[in-house]
Amino acid sequence: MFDWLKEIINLLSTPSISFTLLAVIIPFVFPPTDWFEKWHRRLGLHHLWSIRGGWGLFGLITAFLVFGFFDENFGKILSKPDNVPIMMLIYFVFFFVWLSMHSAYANDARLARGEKVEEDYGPDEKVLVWPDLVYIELTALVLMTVFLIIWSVGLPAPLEEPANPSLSPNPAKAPWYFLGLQEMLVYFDPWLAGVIFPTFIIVGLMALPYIDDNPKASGYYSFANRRVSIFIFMFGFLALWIFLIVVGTFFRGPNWNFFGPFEEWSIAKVVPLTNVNLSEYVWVKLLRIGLPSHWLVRESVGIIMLLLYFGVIPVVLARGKLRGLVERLGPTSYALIIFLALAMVFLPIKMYLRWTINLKYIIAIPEAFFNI
Amino acid sequence: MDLKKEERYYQPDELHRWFGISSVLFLASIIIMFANDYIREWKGHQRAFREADVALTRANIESAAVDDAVKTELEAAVATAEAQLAADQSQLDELDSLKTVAEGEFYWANMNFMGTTADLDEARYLLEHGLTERHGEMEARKHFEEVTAKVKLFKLQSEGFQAEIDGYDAETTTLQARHKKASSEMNELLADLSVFERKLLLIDPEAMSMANRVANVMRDLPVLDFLAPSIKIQQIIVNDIRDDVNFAVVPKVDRCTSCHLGIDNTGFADAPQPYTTHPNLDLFIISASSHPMNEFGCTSCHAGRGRGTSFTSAGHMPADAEQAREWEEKYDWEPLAFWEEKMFPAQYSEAGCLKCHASEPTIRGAEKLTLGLTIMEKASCFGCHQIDRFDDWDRRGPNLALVSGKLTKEFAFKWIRNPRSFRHNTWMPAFFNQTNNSSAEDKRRTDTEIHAIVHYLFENSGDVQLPSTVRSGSVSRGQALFESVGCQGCHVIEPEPLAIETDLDRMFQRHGPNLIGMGSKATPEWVYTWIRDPQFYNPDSRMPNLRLTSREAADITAYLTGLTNDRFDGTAAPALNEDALADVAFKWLVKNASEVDAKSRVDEMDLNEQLLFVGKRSILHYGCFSCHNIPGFEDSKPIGTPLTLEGSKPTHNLDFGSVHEIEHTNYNWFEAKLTNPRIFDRDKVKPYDERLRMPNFNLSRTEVEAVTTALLGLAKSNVHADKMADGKMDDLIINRGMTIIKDYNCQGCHIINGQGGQIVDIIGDPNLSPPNLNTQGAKAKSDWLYKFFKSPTTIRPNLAVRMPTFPLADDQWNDIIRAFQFSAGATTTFETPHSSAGKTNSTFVGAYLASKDMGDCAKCHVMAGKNPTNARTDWAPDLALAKDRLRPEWIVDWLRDPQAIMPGTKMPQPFIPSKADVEFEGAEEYFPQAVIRMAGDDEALLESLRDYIYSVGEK
Repeated sequence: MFDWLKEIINLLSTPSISFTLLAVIIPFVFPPTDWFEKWHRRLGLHHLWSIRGGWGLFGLITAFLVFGFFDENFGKILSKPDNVPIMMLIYFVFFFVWLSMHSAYANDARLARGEKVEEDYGPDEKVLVWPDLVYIELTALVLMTVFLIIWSVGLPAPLEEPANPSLSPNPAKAPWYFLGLQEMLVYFDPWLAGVIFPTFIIVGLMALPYIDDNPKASGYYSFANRRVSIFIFMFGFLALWIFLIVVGTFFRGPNWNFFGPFEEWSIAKVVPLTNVNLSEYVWVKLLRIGLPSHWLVRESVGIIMLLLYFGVIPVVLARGKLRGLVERLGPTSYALIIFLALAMVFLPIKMYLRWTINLKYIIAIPEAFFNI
Repeated sequence: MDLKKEERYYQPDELHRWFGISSVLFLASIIIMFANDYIREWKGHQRAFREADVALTRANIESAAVDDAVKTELEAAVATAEAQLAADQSQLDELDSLKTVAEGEFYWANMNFMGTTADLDEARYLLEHGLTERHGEMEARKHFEEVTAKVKLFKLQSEGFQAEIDGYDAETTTLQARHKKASSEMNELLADLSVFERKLLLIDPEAMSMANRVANVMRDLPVLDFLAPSIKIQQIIVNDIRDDVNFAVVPKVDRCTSCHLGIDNTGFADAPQPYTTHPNLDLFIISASSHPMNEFGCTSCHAGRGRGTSFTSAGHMPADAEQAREWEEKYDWEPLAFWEEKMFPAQYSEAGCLKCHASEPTIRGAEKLTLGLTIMEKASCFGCHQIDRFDDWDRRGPNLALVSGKLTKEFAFKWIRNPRSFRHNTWMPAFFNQTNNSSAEDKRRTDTEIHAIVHYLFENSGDVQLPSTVRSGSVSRGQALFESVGCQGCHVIEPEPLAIETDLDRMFQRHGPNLIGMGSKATPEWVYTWIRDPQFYNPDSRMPNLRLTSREAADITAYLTGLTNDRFDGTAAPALNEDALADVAFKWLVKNASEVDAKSRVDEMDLNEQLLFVGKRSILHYGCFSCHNIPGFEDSKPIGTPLTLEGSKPTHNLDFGSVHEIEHTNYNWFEAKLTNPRIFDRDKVKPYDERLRMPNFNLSRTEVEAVTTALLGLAKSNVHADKMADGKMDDLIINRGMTIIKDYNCQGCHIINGQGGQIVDIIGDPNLSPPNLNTQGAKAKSDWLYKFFKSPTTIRPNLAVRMPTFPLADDQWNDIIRAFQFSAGATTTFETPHSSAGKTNSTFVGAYLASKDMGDCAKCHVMAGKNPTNARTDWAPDLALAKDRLRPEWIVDWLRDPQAIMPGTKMPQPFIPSKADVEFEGAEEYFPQAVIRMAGDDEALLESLRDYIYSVGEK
């Protein structure tokens, strides 16, 4: 039943398609510019953040999961005790994004009407540490304990067999919170995906308060006042983190092959790995003269391209579109921001290069265990 | 800090309400938590079992009820005794009060005595000190003597009072004696009953006192049951059988008995699972068995997850789909995920025996496993698959080094293509026309390969010198000889398949090939030469030599070659397709060469070279050399997967291909593979030489199950050497010899260790069949055995069946003899010869006992060549052979009770006169003096008989 629908969903879930769809949809949902804002309204996407829209989205997600639950293959994955946190993650991400956007839109409307934002309590109302804060915290603590007890009674710990060094499970999956990183490993060398990018994410998040000099919307929800920042964050958070975790959880099966949600996880599935380095594209496929023996010559094209990407683009932008930003922040902050932004965009770029031209590495120097 | 309500953002009442709700939820969750613990599966089983146990104990009390008449009588006796006791009560009371007084005195005296003893120690020290220091010794000695006198006085006093007390006690005991005797008789009568009654007191609330009843309920209440519950996990920890959890090896912990509560209790044989009694308490579970559960645990044999305490988490596995469905319904069962070592389904439970009984050729009590191992030996699984157990075994198939002297090419082709078309139950498996190579295109290739294999074999075959003609024999005499001389110890002639399930006896019977159609297979010259001396044609053959005369051999040859297979003869082998041959040669060559090179090399070869090349590649590909000695392949390595630890292979390493209709477990894989070795190639697209090539042995359901059991048994184990069944030197020696005995099928003719001897079914009369070899090691002298094995001589002249000469080396004979000796517990190799010389008296008595009037041994036994008087079927071995052949101790044991050693033997127990037999008036007239003197001393009489036997044939 619904086989045609399952086929379509399987097809749409392919990382290249689903990521593209997500990347295209996000600017319409979190419009960073007036043009997107116009289409955001025209398409009625602002209704998503109404209460009815929230229930609608909730219903849609739930309907999909329930539908999936009754499928033999997807049901197996969904009902796996290990995946329960991911299901919660989907709902929590949805709920908190919705809540913040709902509040932000409400505040934006108030501000547009010249009223105060909702979080503005006024001088007469007081929130006390004792009893209010501590009491609420205690109640929350009790409720959380209840939740954990019920969870652990209802769903015993999903223990597996004793760890065996000579027998790794297939697929071998990282803990759910690391699945995004593991998914990045498909596209990047381990030291990039496992070390450099996580460092950039942490450093970038730590640097945010220093980079962000926008005094508006501090202490209250608002979208209109910081739509570009929110868009960038949402793209990074939803498309480059949550999406990758969901893909890693639900769509990666044996041998880390991609499987649509309704596809059977067959260990025998074969996907050709014919990835080619940029140097091979240039020297072998294009010029047909074989790889140069010295790595510097061999990788020169890749090195030049990366230098152009990280060296020239910031300068061009600083002189063009982002001139205002440079003037406002000064060159150091600008350089930091633009570097982090380019690094972030580098991930989807590399993903697309892999999907479109099977590009393995832009720079591949196995002699020094250095690949990008 | 009073705030007005309106000033507060959060209203206290609201917060209180939320706190109230969360507290209620919290309480509920705690209750759920305890409830969830309280309703655990095994707790339910323990509660239910307790009820069943109460019912059983009540029933036991019922059935242990005693004879009412006896009971009434005893009760009356007790009552009388009690009445008398009452009458004597005043006397008893007086004795008691006297005793109390005496005890008081004794207490006082004894205390004085003890106190002065301590003083004496001090006085002794002071005296010794004075003597050492030479100072004040006079005074000290005086003190010492005073104290010694005091001690003596108090000792006398206390002994006096003790004697008084003992006196009162004795009087009391006398007065109470009658009552005591009556009540102890009563107790004895009720002993069984009281065991059950005491048990009932412990487990049956209705039988308990009120306080116990309350405690009984309290201890198992939720929450309180952490203190001292009666319902608790039962576990067996076995330290010398360990579980490998990869980073550590831990003692086995089996909690199976938490639910299988009646496993060691015979009363639950018919109870439903999980309370059922173990079906084989003689061998397992109870402490009197050879595998007590406290020493072996449960999962050591059954596998599974010993620590599991629910039906699923223990790793239960169903025997079949039907049971699986039943379990799903009843127990909500599913195969335990993430656990490789699941329990063996019931039909494979013998697999667990192999890890400890690893080197035993025959594992008694594990018939299915032994059958599986025997089939693996017969089918020569170890030819292609390395298996430690069979590491030094020879190739099982016929030697093909001289094949051109035995077969025609036509026969060889048809045989290889379909062995069963010639012999319906051959062990030669089918390689061709299987599910993955039966297309027309495949057949074009395989027919060519068979041609090439045959060509290779015949080109490389040596010549064998056969006689040009064989004297003509008689078919009927040949058949009679075949059926009497012992051929059927190993061979059958079964033209059609019989509807008999394979078992061990059947394996003994089918040790050699089914000899149908011999006339279609080999020439009379070959058959004649072969049966006269098998090692002439094949020095490695295990076929023994029956020392046939040329006439006997000619007769048997005539009989065997008269058997033909006309249907087989009627089919013709197809002609060689030369194009196909070139194709196959090219396909092999192109694997290691370029297309152009391969093509030119094929073109360079002539037909003979192509055939030899393809033949060699095919033999290598199909592994023919694994079972057959083929010139040019003497050192080739096995082509199959090693199977030494196949039972431990992770299931995901077994390629199920597209076979999804069976549950993916290792035993299902083994069964499917054994039933159709090519099944996992289904729906696969593979080049010919990459397809599965394990041949089809056409195993029956029973055989498949047996081999699967053996495969499951070939698993890793962590059993301490002391616990291994073959951990002792003696066991290893026995196993080594028994392996040779099994290999050469001695049990085809003889019963050895209670097994084999199926030839009796053919001969009919056990007394005309090869002897039972029980206690052989204690019976025969080792040097005689050796001589007999090397060159068998006639012991029982009435037997038509012959002990053949086996082509065994000295070390193998030694192994066999030692196995006999160690099995019988008689392990001496060199012995002082026993002689009857000089024992004239003893020999005389023996001779008397053996004489015509008494035992009349000569009725059945040949006496130094003199034939017995009885019919030929009753003849027994020549007693003159005994002194060289038999061990003196054994003869005595044998004479004492022949049936104990050889059940069913015709040998009667000899008459051994007792004292009573000779104590009558005029006995001297009947019995010689010496006999009368020895009568009653059975041992001496038996020995005298033995001494007589040793003297038979001596001048």
